[in-house]
Amino acid sequence: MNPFFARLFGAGRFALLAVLLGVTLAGCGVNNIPTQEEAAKAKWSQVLNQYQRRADLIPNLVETVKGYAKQEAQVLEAVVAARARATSVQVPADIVTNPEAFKKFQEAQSQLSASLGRLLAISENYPDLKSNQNFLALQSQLEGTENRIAVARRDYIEAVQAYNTELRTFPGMIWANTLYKSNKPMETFTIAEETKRPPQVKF
Amino acid sequence: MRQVLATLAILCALIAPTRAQWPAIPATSELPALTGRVVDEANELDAATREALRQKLAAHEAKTGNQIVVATVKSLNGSSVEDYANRLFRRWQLGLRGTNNGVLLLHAPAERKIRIEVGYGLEGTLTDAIGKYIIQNAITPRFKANDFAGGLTRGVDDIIKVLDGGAEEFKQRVAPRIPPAWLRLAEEGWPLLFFLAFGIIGYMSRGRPSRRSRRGGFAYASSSDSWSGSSSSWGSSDSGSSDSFSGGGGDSGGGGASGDY
Repeated sequence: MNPFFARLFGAGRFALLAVLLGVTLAGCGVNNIPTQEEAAKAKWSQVLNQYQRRADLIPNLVETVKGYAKQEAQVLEAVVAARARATSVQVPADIVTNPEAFKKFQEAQSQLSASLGRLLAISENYPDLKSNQNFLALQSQLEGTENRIAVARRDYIEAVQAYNTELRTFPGMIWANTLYKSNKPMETFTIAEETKRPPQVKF
Repeated sequence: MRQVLATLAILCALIAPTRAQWPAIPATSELPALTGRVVDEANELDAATREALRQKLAAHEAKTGNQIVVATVKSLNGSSVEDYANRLFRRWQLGLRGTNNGVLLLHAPAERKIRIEVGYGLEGTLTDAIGKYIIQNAITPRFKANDFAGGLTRGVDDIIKVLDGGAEEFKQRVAPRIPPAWLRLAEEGWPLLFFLAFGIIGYMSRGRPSRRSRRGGFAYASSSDSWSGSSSSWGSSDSGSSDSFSGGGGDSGGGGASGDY
């Protein structure tokens, strides 16, 4: 055979092999880990957004309640303090793979949830406050935000579940141990918190 | 080595399609199917009401593109109404992809719960507070009297009114008028207020019709012009015939309001 053709054939075989390799690799989900990592990160930023939104609502709520229920200073101060703690908690860039930071964040937020729940509960005792338009509007916004937080958390949990499963099962495991050695499983919210419902207020 | 790679590749190729078929989302089989703009699974509406609602909703979509769906369900299957409504909304994908302009009005008679679930794109117009207001004023009183048709119809009317340019009117009814900032100032920092007042008087007495003095008032009270009675302009040549209806790929992040009665 003409050596030229032999070389061409050789190169062709190489290209063919490369294409085949690419197809099988894609079929093996070589892209799954980074794709799912990005998805989970996006869900996480949604969680942060919604918690921030809640924190932003609180000063107005506290002011409004103060106007009608000054004697509840203790509960009000607890909310203000819990908000301060929750907003001052460090959120490092690697929080989703950093169990300690994640736990701290979660604790601060659930403390804030608890103190907000108490605030809404005591507001039941003040008819004037309950019929105040400002309060009603803020309350519905807070309820809505708590629900958005619940949805964002649920989405995040699902995304992390998919990502962590990909890291630990075949064939994702292969890529996790070769190409993506630095990818760690992500932290997720504990179920106990999920069963809590947003504060419901009866009228 | 080559053999190992080859086996691996074959294994992958075999496994890839099966992996794709694994359900990514937990089973949602208990959710009702989207059979139209009015999904009356709990069977609480008469045919005439259903048809009237359907026409209103179709006309609204023709005019604004917003997809509103009314649903009654037999049971929430133990979920909270918020969780159920969000999953149902996402299953049905109300509103357009990217625009997310869908609204779901859900009633669960067994649990006595109501929810207005709002897609991302309409959260700014049909706010949580307005949703709550509609539930409490248009829907709940009628539901308490077992007038489900009336409650849902009024609820839909109000939602349409809000989305069709009437949002300002509702906002005025429910808005947290934001003066707490200056109330606080008046309470604790009135010397500063004095200073400010004199400053403004001084500024105005220089004879300039300043922008600032206009801005000082409440922006809410002004500009109710957007309320231009469009609310009853439907009925104009409704397509009527095409009953096939499906979601456009919209998403919701849990915006809206809920209530019970």
